[in-house]
Amino acid sequence: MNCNEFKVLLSECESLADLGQLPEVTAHLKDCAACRSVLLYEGKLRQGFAGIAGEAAPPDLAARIMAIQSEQAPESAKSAESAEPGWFDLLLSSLQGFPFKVAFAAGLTGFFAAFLLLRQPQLAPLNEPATIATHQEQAVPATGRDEAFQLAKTEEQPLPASHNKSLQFDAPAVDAKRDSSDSGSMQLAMTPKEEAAAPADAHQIAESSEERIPGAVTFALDSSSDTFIADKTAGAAAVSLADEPDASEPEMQLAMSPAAERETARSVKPSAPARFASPPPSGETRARITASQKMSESKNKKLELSNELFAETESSDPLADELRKLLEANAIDLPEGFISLDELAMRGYLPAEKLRRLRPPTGSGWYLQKTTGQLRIFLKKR
Amino acid sequence: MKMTPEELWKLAIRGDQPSWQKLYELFGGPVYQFFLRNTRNVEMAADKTQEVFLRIFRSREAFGGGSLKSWIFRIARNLLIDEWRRAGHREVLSDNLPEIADTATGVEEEVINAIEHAQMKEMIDECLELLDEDSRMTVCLVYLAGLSIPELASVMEMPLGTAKTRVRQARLKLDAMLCEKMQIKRVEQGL
Repeated sequence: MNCNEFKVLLSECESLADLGQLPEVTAHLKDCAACRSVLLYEGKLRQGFAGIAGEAAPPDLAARIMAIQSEQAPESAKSAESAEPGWFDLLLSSLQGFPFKVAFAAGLTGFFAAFLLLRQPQLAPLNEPATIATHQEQAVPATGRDEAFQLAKTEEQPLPASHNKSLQFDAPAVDAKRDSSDSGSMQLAMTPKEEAAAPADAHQIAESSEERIPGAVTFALDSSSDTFIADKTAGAAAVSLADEPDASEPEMQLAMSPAAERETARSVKPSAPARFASPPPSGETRARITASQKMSESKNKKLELSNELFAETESSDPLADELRKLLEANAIDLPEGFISLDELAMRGYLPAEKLRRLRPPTGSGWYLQKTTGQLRIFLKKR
Repeated sequence: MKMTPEELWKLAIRGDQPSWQKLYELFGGPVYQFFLRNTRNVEMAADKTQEVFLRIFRSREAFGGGSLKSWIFRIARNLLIDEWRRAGHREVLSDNLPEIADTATGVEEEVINAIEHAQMKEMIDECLELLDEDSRMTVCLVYLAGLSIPELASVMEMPLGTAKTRVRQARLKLDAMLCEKMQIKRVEQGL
């Protein structure tokens, strides 16, 4: 053994006593005074460091550190209690599988859609005018003709020629009816264009078809046009009150009154079936419906986003696990949010090789989430 | 029967107070001195020591075996680096180490023998203050905390060869300073 070999051994050994027992070392030390002094120096140095390490710490430090165990133990017990899953956690855990997630998301979306659809008729103001259609003869309820009429009315399109039969107006007859009616403002079911052209108080009688079943009362809820229709069988005549936004109160009362009263009031043919129809949404109502639809759209978008996030959180990534272990092993206390790997590297926690491996793809980052004292790390789009 | 630190740790995290106390007796002093020699601030050293024990207890689930001493000093080292950064120190632990020549001159046996333990401690303390931060931390981890070279490599998350080089570089600086001080002492004592 030469001096260099001895120095290398000396620098790497943990116990000088062990080093002194090696035969090669003893042999070398017998002949080399320089190495003996080096060994002596090393011994003094290590004793000096041991003396420094053994210097007393402040007396209160022991008490502070002993308190950690007693303070932290109840906290950890509490956190363990709070970590017991509640009903929502159980629900979420039951939705771990992908098909269940899809079904759950679809159910939620359907619920919101149904809720919004059912909510729409209530949006119409209560004082909106109604349409009364009085038929001379009983009409078959909810015929295609009625539906087409309502659709045409809603979409402000003229009715097809085949349907115009029931909407043909006999000018002299109308005039006669107008003369005989004090209330006015009564209109036979008419197309919107006709509505626009005709005066609001026009009184019109439609020729009714022969297919009406006497005594039948039908109700139809047309949510798309926001229209409630009731066909009441009482006679052959059909009287319609146009649903002008500025329809007067007497018109409404007339529309809602029993058939006999209406007959008296209007002096139209007795027992006429009445048609009640709420109007297509006026400007304000339309605005409210549009706002409601926008709200539902934004809710659906939020739901989709939360589903995406849920899917992201659930995916387990070995790199994420590695990063989590690194944070835990070094007891690095980071706030919730995106983790800056560069910052960790600069602080000496991440060697360059690990940094390269853990570097997330462009546009995304490692997101740290803390739930009941546990760290969850996952990739998230920035 | 003497228990290993890891065995004491297992008992301590289950609420065994004597084991926790034993762990403090084993590591409390070296951790405190590690912070004290590196910060020169008694209060901060105590606070940081407390922080280390608090963190190891809070993150007890994260310790998955291995050397408890390495884990404790890795946390201590990270806290120290955080503190340096907070205080606006330069970036620490650059990978490119400057090569240092072995300038340590031999000191005669009688001079070394003449130095008392207390004097040696004082000289070491003075030299540590003069050392650069990287070297001081390395020396403290090896000689104050008693980490082996492989443990140091684990704590500093570096290859074994790099760890050896760091220790060697730090020791050369320290030895040069100590030899200088001992020569001065020799002159003063008339040896």
